Formats: sequence, structure tokens, C-alpha cells
Amino acid sequence: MNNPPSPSPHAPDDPPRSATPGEAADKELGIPEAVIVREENRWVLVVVGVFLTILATIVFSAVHIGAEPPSNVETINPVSANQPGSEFVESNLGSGMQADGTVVVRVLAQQYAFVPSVITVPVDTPVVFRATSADVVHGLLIMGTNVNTMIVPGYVATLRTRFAKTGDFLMPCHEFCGPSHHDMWARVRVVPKAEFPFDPSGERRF
Amino acid sequence: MRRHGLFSIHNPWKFWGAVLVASMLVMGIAIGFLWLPQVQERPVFGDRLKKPGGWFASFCRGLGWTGDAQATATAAPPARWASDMQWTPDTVHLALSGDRARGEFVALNCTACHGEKGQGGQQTWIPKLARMDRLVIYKQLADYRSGHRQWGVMNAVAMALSEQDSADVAAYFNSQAQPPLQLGQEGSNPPLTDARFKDAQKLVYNGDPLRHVAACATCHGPSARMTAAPDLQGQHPAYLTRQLGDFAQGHRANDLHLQMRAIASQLSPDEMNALGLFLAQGKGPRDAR
Ligand code: HEC
Ligand code: HEC
Ligand SMILES: [Cu+2]
Repeated sequence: MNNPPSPSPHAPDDPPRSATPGEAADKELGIPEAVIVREENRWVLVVVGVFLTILATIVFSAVHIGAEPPSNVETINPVSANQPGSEFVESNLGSGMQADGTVVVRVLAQQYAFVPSVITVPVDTPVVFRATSADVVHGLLIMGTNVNTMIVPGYVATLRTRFAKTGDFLMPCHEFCGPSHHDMWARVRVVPKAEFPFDPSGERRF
Repeated sequence: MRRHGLFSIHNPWKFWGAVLVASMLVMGIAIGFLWLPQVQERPVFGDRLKKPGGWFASFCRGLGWTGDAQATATAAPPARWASDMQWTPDTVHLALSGDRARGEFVALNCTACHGEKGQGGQQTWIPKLARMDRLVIYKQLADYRSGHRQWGVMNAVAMALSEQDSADVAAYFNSQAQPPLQLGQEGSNPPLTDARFKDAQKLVYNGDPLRHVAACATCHGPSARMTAAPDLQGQHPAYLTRQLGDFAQGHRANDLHLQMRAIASQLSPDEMNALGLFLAQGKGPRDAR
């Protein structure tokens, strides 16, 4: 007990100050304002850190995983989407080649299936997905690629991609759409270019 | 009880808080709408399609305005579609607005085949209509009328009915008593082994995720119901099985967006037999034998 007692901030010999209401409160709690300010500043840093982490995640997924806002805002009447005159009429679903060599895939999502259930596209070719929903919100995700979007009734989702390797890819619905959601998926079959039937007229669907 | 007013710029907390939030916002906008859209022109998975450049175009892309719509302008095959039926509120209203008494009169043309009060007869290939959902009857009659569903006599019968007649007769049949299950007549499905029955039960309540077959009960009831999907309880099993076969082979193709064709094409003939029996019996998930 040789050490002198450390001076307490509330030592009775403190010079009297004109106490502000805030300081009065500090006195009640026994915490000096400087300590409160330091703690507040630390919390501000934590919040800024959280914000920067979220931003970094977005930037990382945008630059390295290719995530991006998927489509233009384009509306469609879901009730008549399957009627003649609509791009999503039954006979027009599936992949077709355009004059410029791009393959356009039209997909209609509904409870609880994608039409068509097998989508064939050529490898190493520009592919445009166009999808819409006949009923509720569904999800379009092709595993192992950056193709990932919601399919919202009343809107057409457009996505551009290019498949780098051949093989079968799973395309599950990843937006809960009802009690049989777990049964809803399609298969994307990426075939060698020579196996994709070339049709310059663009009138056939696969 | 503060040194300064709540929104005073002399309050350093408020002031720096506002500056911080504003700078986060500006940073977010700059990154999301200006920088990222530019960076994303570079290849990530294989090379991407060239996007129109310029910071204004980038900004619009960030907002979702990409001008991608030109992809629609392609040649199309001749249109083929399942049914003319569009379930707009007006159509649903008309289909549900039938007059039962008038319907009874229209139904005089149907009893010869569909049985007294739609209860069905000995012919297992003719469906029972009693208790059937009004939208189902309305849609099927419309499809027979337009030729999207084909069956000689029914096409002729439906052609003689107006839309209002269809709504009326639908109201009449819908109000009749649930027909009893008939099993074991001539032409009916053979009885099932327990194992087959269990398979059918699984398909009805769980579906088969490995074949993307959705659970029947989520559209036909009791779990949930899809618009104009019939309740199959009490129907002739042989009729149900034949419809499944017809869907699978495309002889019947009036289901909107391949709802049933996609499912039926995954089923084996054995399963179609079992499902016909199981659904006609209308067993719940627990009381199946
Ligand atoms: C000559 C016999 C015959 C007559 C008369 C007849 N039907 Fe039918 N009907 C059938 C047959 C057979 C089928 C099943 C056809 C098939 O498999 O596509 C059928 C199917 C139907 C269906 C579809 C049911 C379902 O489960 O999908 C409806 C609805 C229907 N008939 C209503 C009527 C109405 C209403 C009338 C009277 C205005 C009528 N039918 C008169 C023989 C007849
Ligand atoms: C996605 C919803 C959905 C699922 C899942 C579904 N069905 Fe259907 N089903 C329908 C609709 C809708 C119709 C009426 C089609 C039409 O408009 O002609 C129908 C019609 C039928 C018919 C013809 C009934 C008649 O009276 O003509 C049979 C039989 C049938 N379904 C059996 C099944 C079986 C068996 C399963 C399960 C393996 C099943 N369905 C799963 C929606 C569904
Ligand atoms: Cu879905």
C-alpha cells in the first residue's frame, strides 16, 4: 500500500465547473464524457467497417463472380404469355439461333416446372436467356456459372452468358414458389458446337 | 436537454453523422452505377458480349436499363399453343357465374354418357362430372369447342354450347353429390400390390425430385390447388390412367404450359395405373392402406 491512491475524477477537490446537463448525467452514471466519446467513436468505426465489408463483398462478387444487375425492365402480361403473338407461346420456347450467331433461350417458369425441362445450347457461343413466369416468383440459377436471376411474373428477365465447357448443368428453382418447389428444376445441356443443329433461318427450337 | 438543437450543424455528432451517411451513399452510387458497370465489360466467365460504352450507358445498366430487348426480334416457328383459355378476372367471373337451374336443362344432353347427375356409368372411359370444379368443366368445354382437346363426340357437343351454357352446366354438375368410387368394373385398373400403392402415395404427396415430377397433391388437392386442376377423387381410375397416357404421348395437349405433359412423360405405365387408382380413392397421406 505504498502507492498513492490514483486521483479519482470525482475527487472532492475537483475545481467546481458549471455543469452542463450532459455532464450532470455523466456524473450520475459515474462515466466521464471523454470515455463515452471514445466508445461512440469506436462504434462508428464498427458500423463503417460493416458497411465497407458489405461493399467489398458486392465489388468482389461483381468483379470475380460476374454478378450484375441482370436485365432491362421489360413487362409482359403473365395471363396471355402463352398465347400466340407472345414470344413465350409454347412452340417458341427453348433455344433458337439468331442470324448473328447468338443463341436465344426462352424459358417459361411456372409452379412447378421450367418449360422446356431440358435446355440445349452450344458451347463457346453467346447465349441470351429470356425468362418469364406464369404465376409466382421463381428463380433461375445454373450451377457452376454466373447465370442467376429471379423470374418475376409480369417481367421478362434477360441474361447474357457464354458456356465455357460442355456437360450437363443443374438449373434448380432457387426461389421458394410453393409446396412442390423442391421438385422444380431443369437441365442445361451444353453440347459441342457441331452437335447443335445450326439453323440460319432461326425458325427451329431445340 | 442538449447543448444544441437536434438538427443544429453545431452539434458535431449530428453533423459528422450526416457527412458519414452521405459519403457512404455517394460512394455506393459511384461504385454501383459508374465503376462496376464499366469493369464488367471485361471477361469473367469466357468473354462477354460487348456492351455499349460511355458512362451514361453504364449508369443506365446499373439501374437495369440495358436495351437488351432487341433479342426478341427473331424468326419464330409457326405458333402452337395448348389452349385459348386465359384466366383473366372477367373469364373467371363468367365461368363462376353459371345458373344451376338452366344448367340442369343443358345437362339433359350429357346424361346419356356422363350418367344421371354426372354420377358416371359403367363405361370407365367416360369421366364423371359430379362435384367437378366449375373452372375445370368450363375450360375443358372451351378446349373441346376450339379443338385444343380432341374427342369426336365431345367436340360436337361442346360446339353446340355457348360460353354461358358452359358456365351454367358447370354450375349444375358442380352442385351434385360426390360420386361413389367404383372399382373392379370391366376395363378398370387391376388391383395394386402394397408396394405399388406406396409408390403412388409417394408420388402424390412428395413427387419425385430426381425426375422433376411435382407432387400431384400440390395441384389437385388436398395440399394446394392450381387453377382449373380437377379434383380426382371418385373419378374412374381407368379414365385417369388413360388421360395420363394421353398426356405422356401428347394425344392430349390442352394443359397450359405443359403442366401435365411434363409430368406424365416421366411416369411409367405401371405408375400411371397405380396413380389412377390411388387418386380416385382420394386417400389422405395417413389413411392410405
Ligand atoms: C357421346 C357421349 C358423350 C356425351 C353426350 C357428352 N360427353 Fe362429355 N365426355 C365424353 C367422353 C368420352 C369424355 C372423355 C373424352 C376424352 O378422353 O377426352 C368426355 C369428357 C367431358 C369433359 C372433360 C372431363 C374431364 O375430366 O376432363 C367434360 C367437362 C364433359 N365431357 C362435359 C360434357 C357435357 C357438359 C356434356 C353435355 C352438354 C357432355 N359432356 C356430353 C362423352 C360424352
Ligand atoms: C402443376 C400442377 C399439377 C401437378 C403437380 C399435377 N397436375 Fe394433374 N393436372 C393439372 C391441371 C392444371 C390439369 C388440367 C389440365 C387441363 O387444363 O386440361 C390436370 C389434369 C390431370 C388429369 C386429367 C384429369 C381429367 O379429369 O381430365 C389427370 C389424370 C392428372 N392431372 C393426374 C395427375 C397426377 C397423377 C399427378 C402427379 C403425378 C398430377 N396430375 C400432378 C395440374 C397438375
Ligand atoms: Cu419455382
